[in-house]
Amino acid sequence: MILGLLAMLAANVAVTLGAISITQRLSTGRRSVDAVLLLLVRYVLIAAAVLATGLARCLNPIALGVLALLGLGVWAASGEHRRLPRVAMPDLGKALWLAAAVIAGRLLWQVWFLAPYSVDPLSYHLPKMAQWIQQGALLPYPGADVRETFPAGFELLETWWCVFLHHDVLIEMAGLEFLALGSAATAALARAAGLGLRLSAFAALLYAITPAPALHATGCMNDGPVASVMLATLALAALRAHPLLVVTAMAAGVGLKPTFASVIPGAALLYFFERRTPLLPVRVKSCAVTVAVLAILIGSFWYGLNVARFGNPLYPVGSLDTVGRASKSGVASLGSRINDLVGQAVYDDRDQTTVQFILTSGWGLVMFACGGVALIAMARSNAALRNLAAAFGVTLLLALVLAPSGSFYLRFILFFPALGAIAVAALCERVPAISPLPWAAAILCFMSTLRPGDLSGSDLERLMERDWRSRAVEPFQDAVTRTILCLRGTHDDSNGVSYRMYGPGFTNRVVYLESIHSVDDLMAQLDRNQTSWIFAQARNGDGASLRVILEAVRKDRLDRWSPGLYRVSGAK
Amino acid sequence: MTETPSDRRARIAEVSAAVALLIWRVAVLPLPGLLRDWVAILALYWIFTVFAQRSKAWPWVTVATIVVLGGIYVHGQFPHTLEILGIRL
Repeated sequence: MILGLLAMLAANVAVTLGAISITQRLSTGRRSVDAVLLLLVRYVLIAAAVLATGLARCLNPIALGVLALLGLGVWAASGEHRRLPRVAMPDLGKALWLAAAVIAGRLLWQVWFLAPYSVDPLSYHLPKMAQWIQQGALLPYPGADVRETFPAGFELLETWWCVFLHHDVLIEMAGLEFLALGSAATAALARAAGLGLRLSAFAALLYAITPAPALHATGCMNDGPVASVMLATLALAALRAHPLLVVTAMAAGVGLKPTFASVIPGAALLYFFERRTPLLPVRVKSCAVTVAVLAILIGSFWYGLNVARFGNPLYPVGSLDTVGRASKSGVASLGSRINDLVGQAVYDDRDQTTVQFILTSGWGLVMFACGGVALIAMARSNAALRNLAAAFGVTLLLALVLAPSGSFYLRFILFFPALGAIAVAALCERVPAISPLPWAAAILCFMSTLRPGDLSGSDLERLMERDWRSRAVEPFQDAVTRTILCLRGTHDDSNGVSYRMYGPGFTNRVVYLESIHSVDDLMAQLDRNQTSWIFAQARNGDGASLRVILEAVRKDRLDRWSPGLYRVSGAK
Repeated sequence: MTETPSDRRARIAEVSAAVALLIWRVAVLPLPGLLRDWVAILALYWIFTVFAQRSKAWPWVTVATIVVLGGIYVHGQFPHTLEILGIRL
């Protein structure tokens, strides 16, 4: 554990210093853009390190630690330490610094005490990450769910925060990094709209406490990170960063999730609006080319892998009817989605705010009460804000059209409250007496996300009471100590939250079963894998496998241990 | 200050857009729902802003609109926040 901790420290220092040095070479001369680039480059370096070691089958703390030390050696030997920029804290005023500290403290508290809880990460984002860490390699995939082949750029960063300690206690740090990127991008967009330093920071802060991105930051969901990279792309386009830098952001975004693509026309529109403004210079163009190529390799890796394995870059969408049907999108659904969004979801009153965003938008009180008013008031006199509004509007419409079918389209538009935050900050400049209202709204937003709605108060209490080594939402992994079989998830049946079976320290071996033909076949498979446990929540094969398991329970061959978890009768 | 033709065109376009939003909401919502409708309130505020942004009343109407919208949001959402905080009414 100590060695892992030291390796984690060295690796984080190495990628941060590397990112600083690279950002100095990319420096555009605008601090707001450079802040976005720093966070983006840090992500690209981490993703490259995890991907490279994963493909080389040495994804472990020792290899990453050695790589970090080598990198630090090269960095110091080339005299980079003498070129480090002086850290000057921006003059934001006490109130903003205090608010930022409170938000950061709350987020870190959540990182420490929360464990992965949402059904999507538990069923198809994280099982493969657990397998990567166990096998020290990216391939093969575990076969946990048909959706595990979706792009996994975010899981690379989650792996980074888990691989060193061989534990998921810090997994939510990945979401925090992206929330920082989204906030920095909001500040940069505010600068593009002509706001000063303090008001831009205020806009960033308002975005950071917006319920949707704030909850996604610690919910292990990848939609919050996608929203952050969307904002970064819009910011780089609005401020006329070099096209290679915009491409870098786009490649990183596409590597997180294909739905990111809905921002591309909006970014192009901003580039068009600002076509008479000269491009921001890049100090070392070859460095920009290298970073862009690296980002393209990372972002396209998942699509290439799917082409190689299945002949379809978006597999299983378009290949398996179940997923294809559930992922259908189109203009036909636009009207009903807009009606639902502005007529119901934006009120956030149909349910507690959960990271699934099925009934609530999570846009929060700042956007609802202040954002729309501020946008109307300020866009009339601020052409740059009008341009941003047009780009955000186009992106919103495209996201609503392209979002997969079903009721969870709201999670694809988490970027939009940033526009409201910028407009509110602009309104506060125009009418300073209004400032207490967004501050009060921000406090209420903060309070509404102290606990994700997905977890009950007693769930959270149990998490906080448990020792960090065994911290997980469902305690049943305590009972499982070795190997466990799981049914493979198939999307339209139901989700099998098989990530829980690995345990928070990735101590259990998990074997996924394609199918079970009979009770005898089931018992034989359990015997062959030398285990007495089977987790059967997913109903693969039209529920046939689950029916076999229920039959085994009826015949007293299996005992029901807890929801979804079964044990061979009489096993010790 | 005299209004240029382009200012007038912009004003007509803005009012038309706001009125279109209002008509849409009137068409899809019953009257009680309309009184607390986010888009309808914003559309009314937009029309007022187009004609009176330079008036002394505009900041006060802006504050009032924010407070009204805040009240509507809090009325529906705050019970969930209280539940998050472990407070049951």
